[in-house]
Amino acid sequence: MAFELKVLLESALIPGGVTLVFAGIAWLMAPRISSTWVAGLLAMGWWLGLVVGQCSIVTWSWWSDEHWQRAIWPLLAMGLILGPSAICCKQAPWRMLAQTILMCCAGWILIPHNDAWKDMWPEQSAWFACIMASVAWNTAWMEDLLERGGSRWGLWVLVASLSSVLVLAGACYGTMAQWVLSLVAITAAIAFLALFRDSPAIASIVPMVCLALATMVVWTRFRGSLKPLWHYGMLFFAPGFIAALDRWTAKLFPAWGRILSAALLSVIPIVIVTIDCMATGQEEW
Amino acid sequence: MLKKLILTSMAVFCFSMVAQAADDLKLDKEKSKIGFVGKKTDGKHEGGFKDFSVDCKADWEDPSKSSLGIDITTDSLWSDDAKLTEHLKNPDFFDVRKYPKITFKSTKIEVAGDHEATIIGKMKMLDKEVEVKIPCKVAVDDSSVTLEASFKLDRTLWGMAYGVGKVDKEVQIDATLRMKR
Repeated sequence: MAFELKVLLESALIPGGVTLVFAGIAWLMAPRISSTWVAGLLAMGWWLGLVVGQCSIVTWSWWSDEHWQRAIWPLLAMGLILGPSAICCKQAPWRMLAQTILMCCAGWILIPHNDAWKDMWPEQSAWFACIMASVAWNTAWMEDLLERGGSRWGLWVLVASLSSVLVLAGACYGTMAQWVLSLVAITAAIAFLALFRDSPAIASIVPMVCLALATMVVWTRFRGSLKPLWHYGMLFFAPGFIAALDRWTAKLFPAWGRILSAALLSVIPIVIVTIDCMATGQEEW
Repeated sequence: MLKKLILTSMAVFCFSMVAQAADDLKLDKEKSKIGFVGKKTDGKHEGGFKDFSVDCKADWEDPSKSSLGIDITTDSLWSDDAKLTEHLKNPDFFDVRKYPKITFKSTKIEVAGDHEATIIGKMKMLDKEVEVKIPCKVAVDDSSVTLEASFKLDRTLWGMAYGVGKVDKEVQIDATLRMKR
């Protein structure tokens, strides 16, 4: 099988398919079970899709040497705790506390501390802070967007943000890019189903997607050369920024105007990152 | 006591004779290189390692008793494309942070004529040791010994399996080691 076809199948179609099946079941059961259960099923479907993707990309390991592959565990914890609670008790103080603790743990797990990364130690606390800030900012604004009538199309903002990280990862580290492709596929699967039915349950995957996004932005730095800092700022905070701006566009335009504005803004990071990657010069030696 | 002293002196004498027969050669870094060519479906790329050291002992009387050890610093990897260099340093290929060295240690040298030899040895890469046979040309003059090797390695033997189907499993290695006598 051609390499590209193998990548497409193992990293996108199979994980996306698994999530689609789970999300489809959740959608079908939605009239008979509570939204909290639907939210839980969606979160687990998203997570299982990612695990299937990871298993087809790399040899399975419960605790991989590659720190970003450990992300499945903090993501599972986030899915179980913050997913269903996005419906029943979104503003509860315990949820905020749980989110903060989970983000701290995730940051600690996902950032490498061993001697092999000695040269990156001075940067690590800054990246850790970026993960925390990015997840908090994006989760809050994206949940807000989905609540304000954006639940049918809002997830595509996250899909676009993940796509820009995919471009960056693809330029330096193939396996990691395949993993991000799985993220794009499973998030797109739920975003696709959301087009057909308006449900608050889709907010359940937002914290997980935001954590995965921030983690992978950091890892494109750890495994690639340093890009201008504003690139990282853009990738870290773009979804939240687009969702925040939607509060303003919602006052000026009808639904199509909001969608158009979000779509245009979402494409900008992809274009910038693509141009930057294509413009990288030849190495002198 | 005297007997012991005589025996020790004899042992030291024998050892120094052996040491004279096996010369330590010093690597001439300027005139040495370790390079590779990787082929893919739509082209090929050249690369190599800038930093490596060699531990070579030449036995002039019986060249098959010579030995060669090579230590390559993986982080010194270069290629003809900056993006490719980044990619090659990552865990898809050399994983230079986790595996900072590639080592080769000869176990046997088969001499074929005056100017050809096959160096057999263990090559350790990505924490996996595999026996390799390196056919090489040998040129000896008054001041130096030059080994020239051009051969293919199957990277998947070391578990370097990324991109199979797009990037060839076999990598062409071109190395020249010039050592001063």
